[in-house]
Amino acid sequence: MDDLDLRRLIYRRLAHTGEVPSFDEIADLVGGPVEAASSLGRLHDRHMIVLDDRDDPGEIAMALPFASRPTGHRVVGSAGSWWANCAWDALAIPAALDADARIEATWLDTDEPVDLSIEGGELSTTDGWVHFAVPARRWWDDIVET
Amino acid sequence: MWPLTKAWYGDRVADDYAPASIDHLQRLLDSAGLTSPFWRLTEDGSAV
Repeated sequence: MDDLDLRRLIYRRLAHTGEVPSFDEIADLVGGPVEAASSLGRLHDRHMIVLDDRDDPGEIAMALPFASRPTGHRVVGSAGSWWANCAWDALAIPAALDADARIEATWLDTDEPVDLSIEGGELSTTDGWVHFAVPARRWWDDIVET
Repeated sequence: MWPLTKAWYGDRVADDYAPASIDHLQRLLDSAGLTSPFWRLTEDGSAV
């Protein structure tokens, strides 16, 4: 299994289950923990996944637009549900899956629940704002903060 | 926002996904009207 095969496996798993494979499972698939750490490190360096710790490759934190753990942005569709890293990623998951979905989150300014969904492949409303705090050229300086 | 999102992320789960070039991503931002320096993907804006 090469790096891109592993990437495909990670994204397929996320699409179907909302979860990432564990480091131990990946190690079993690629031939051991050393190989797993190397492959995951390379995917991290190519911005294809985000590891919890690049210096000690282990569990996957993100595979954009998916988050591996609960966040304040949840996407719920007929085939499952997924955690998103941010407001834009909450829109990006239905786009990536080509699926209708409802977004469960709160507005940053009012803390009120958002009323956003993708219906028939289109966004239900264009009211509201997605706030980007970090300039685009700095997004990958610290993608978790971004 | 939605057209940009579909263009940016629409192929992310596809088996034949290949990372887009910086030039391509910059064009997507430009097409969405995001043309100020804040949206430049490189320090000097040379991606465009």
